[in-house]
Amino acid sequence: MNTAPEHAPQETPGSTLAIAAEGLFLINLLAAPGLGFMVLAWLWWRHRHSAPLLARQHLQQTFWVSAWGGLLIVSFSLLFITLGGLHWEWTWVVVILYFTCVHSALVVGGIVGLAYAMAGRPWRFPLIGPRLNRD
Amino acid sequence: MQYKSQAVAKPYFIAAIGLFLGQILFGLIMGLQYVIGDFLFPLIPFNVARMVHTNLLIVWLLFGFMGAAYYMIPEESETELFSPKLALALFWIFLVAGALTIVGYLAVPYATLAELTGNDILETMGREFLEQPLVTKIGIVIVALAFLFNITMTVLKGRKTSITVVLLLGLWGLAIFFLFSFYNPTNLVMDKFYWWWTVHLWVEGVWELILGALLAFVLIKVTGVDREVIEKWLYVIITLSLVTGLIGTGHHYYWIGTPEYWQWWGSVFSALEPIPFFAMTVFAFNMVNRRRREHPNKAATLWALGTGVMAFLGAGVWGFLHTLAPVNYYTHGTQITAAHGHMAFYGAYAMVVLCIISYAMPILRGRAANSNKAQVVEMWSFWLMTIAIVFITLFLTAAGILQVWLQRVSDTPLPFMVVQDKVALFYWMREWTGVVFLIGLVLYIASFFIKGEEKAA
Repeated sequence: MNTAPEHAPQETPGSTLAIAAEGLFLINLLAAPGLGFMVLAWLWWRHRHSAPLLARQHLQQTFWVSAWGGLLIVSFSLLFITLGGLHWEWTWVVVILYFTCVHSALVVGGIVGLAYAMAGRPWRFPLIGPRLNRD
Repeated sequence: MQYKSQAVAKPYFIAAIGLFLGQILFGLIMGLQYVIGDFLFPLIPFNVARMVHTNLLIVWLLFGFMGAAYYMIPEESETELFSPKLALALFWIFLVAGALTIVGYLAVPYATLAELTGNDILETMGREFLEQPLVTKIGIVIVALAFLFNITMTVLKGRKTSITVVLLLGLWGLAIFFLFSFYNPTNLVMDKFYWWWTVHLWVEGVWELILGALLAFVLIKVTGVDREVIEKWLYVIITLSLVTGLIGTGHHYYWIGTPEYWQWWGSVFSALEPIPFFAMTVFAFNMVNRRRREHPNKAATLWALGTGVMAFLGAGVWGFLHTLAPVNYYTHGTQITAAHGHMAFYGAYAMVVLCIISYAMPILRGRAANSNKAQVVEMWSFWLMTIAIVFITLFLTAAGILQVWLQRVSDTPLPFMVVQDKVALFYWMREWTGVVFLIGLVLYIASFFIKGEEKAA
């Protein structure tokens, strides 16, 4: 059995802010939509140049993925409703499935991001996560 | 393998996988009967196929849980099993009794089976998931008590850990809540009320303790993270499970004739039920990220991570989707329930049993992990089964939404069977995805027979 170096999340600079960013990302999705994003946006704006690298990476990911994810959910749902109308059963099939899948995918991404932040590691969201800051 | 008596887990795991295969085959038969109504009729009527499909699910998971306990308890307690002979005897008794019950379902009309097995003495049959004849139910209780005696005695004579305590609590709870299957009051409301004490308090109560204990054990082994860290997470998870799951039973009480306050209690507490699964997913990924060793069994680690994610999606998200009383008013008993049931059972319970088998079986066969080649095949099986269940869930959800709209929301609602015809396309897609699931399961089984350079124990 090989031994790998243990990650020490407590000692990684910026891990608290990184955890807060991922937490707010999930709060925005699960508990307080909009409010969670506003606090996250404020944190990102305030610390985007000054925070330690790990925190900047997580703030950047969560802020932009929240923005793009929210846009994806709202715009396509509205598009489907506009195209199909509220009184057509297939509109509901598409909208509910679309919303549930995209929302769940974002939540799972956020859970993984939170676990990475707790372990003091960077995390890039698949597909819509911006390229990671390396400096 | 650290203790010789852990070997008794092996036949349990083999039987579990065999019965799982049977469950999937009957699922495919039943899936086809949704679209070709007289397929295999009168040889295997739909109600019988359904009963076999769901009963096999329960029995193979029980075999898996028992095998897992026999494997974990000696290692956790740092002592040999109290009685390996009793464990083996119980295995054969449970297997033969289970097989005879399935043969009974298939060979004899259900009403005749009830007559033959003494249902008139104590009427316990005819209820979903608890269809087993009285003698089988009594057999399950005897096997469960003897099994609990065996593992409890082992724990009492050895080291006590949080994992063994949580596992024992879950397994004792499983046995105790099964006793409600013997209580069948003539009042239908009371009957359904207590029926859920077995069904709900198993899957959204005590089974979650077993799930947590199994996951924690595998994560300690494959990550090498300190036991204290993992045990703290385990306590948080089981607390969340019990706080939300026990009163969450109320989401079954909305429309069965119980007082109206259950609509509030059920909605509020069951809306919180995704939280323990959320914590479980964070826990699994966090432990793997903080790992202190690279365990050669990558497949087992993949199963552990997958369990968290799929349990969260299936039990958490798809449960929440239809758990609030105003939503459930429309969705109750539709294909949306079936969608939730499929992904939740796979994500929470099938995957954790496959995970512990994936971890323990190579060790039981004298090696730390299977060869790389075998693990690649096993990982293929993971992805095939997992993606297949995701699509099965999506197709059933689509069918359910259509069903709700056409049958319940519409100003001109259509009859049940007319709606079934209209959603047949989704049943066909579910059937083909089921075939992909079966291929995944066959690969899982095949992976144990693939040779190659194995990692020494």
